[in-house]
Amino acid sequence: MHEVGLASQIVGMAVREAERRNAFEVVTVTVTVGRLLQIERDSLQFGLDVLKGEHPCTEKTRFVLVDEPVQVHCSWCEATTIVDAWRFVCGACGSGAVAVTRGDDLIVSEMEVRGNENIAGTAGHGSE
Amino acid sequence: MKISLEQRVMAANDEIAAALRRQWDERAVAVVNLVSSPGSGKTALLERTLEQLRGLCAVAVLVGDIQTENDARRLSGYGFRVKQILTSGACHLEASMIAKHFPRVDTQDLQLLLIENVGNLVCPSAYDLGEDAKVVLVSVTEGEDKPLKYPGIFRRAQAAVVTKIDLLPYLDFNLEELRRNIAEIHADLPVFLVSSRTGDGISAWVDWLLGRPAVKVQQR
Repeated sequence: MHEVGLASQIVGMAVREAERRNAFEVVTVTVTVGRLLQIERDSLQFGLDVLKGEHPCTEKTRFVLVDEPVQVHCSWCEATTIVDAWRFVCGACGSGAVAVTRGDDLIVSEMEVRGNENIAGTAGHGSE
Repeated sequence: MKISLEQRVMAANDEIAAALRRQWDERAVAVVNLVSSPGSGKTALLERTLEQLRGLCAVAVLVGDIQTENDARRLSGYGFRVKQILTSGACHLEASMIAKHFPRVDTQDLQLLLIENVGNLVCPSAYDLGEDAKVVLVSVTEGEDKPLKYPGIFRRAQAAVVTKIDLLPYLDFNLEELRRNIAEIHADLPVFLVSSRTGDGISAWVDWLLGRPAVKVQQR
């Protein structure tokens, strides 16, 4: 259920960044979704597609969700390996002395925007 | 124009949580966040717990629900400040809600803040409230495979409480299987077996809670 709240945060981050850069349109937003977060991707996608309509600059934005597998670092053998979610053992030596280094976060990793400086004659079409 | 951002979506919540944690660390206030499915017995456990903590520790309680003040009513009358947080729809508490309501239960001598989260095993696990420990409850009327189905909260918890153990004789619940499943997700997680109805196991749980403020004082 918190996917809608997260979607609202993500749209807000995209809008703020667009405003900060004087862009009038956000073309794509890439969001990295760590597997440990238990986020229902369809719900998140749905939330994004509904909420993006609230802002002129994100109306047509394509939100791309990228699945991020779980990566752990082993303090025993120093290896960094990709593991199945919820199996916290080193993929190299099998030790349980691992710390999660990736796959535990939700990150707005990249955006593509169209700014006023790129297209002539659009000045004044600011994004709110 | 492509922009590399790498911004964490939870950053806004986590900043508020970090500010709360700093404040509580400075004052050596221990904060425990109880998380479970609806109906696992969070409020019943708190009733027993507050009864035991009377006279031993200065406690405050924040209790989150989507609707009704019922839980706050149940938890008042033990001599501690209790405040209901109504989330009106939200399935979890967020740090901003704690920041807003904490001053209403705060006292100068406060040692322990108990937070009862909204009944839900998924969403609350993602939100840092500035707490020292999340504690996950699972009752014996739920499945032994709860830890496998909801690994996120079992991984983030620093203790698990198995509730309603007085019902074990009437159920086919396999406690050892539950223990194995908990250990598979979180090795060495302390597990308390309690019955809020009979009081069985409550003292070990209360001792663990009482140890939390002591740890904070030492860390200071």
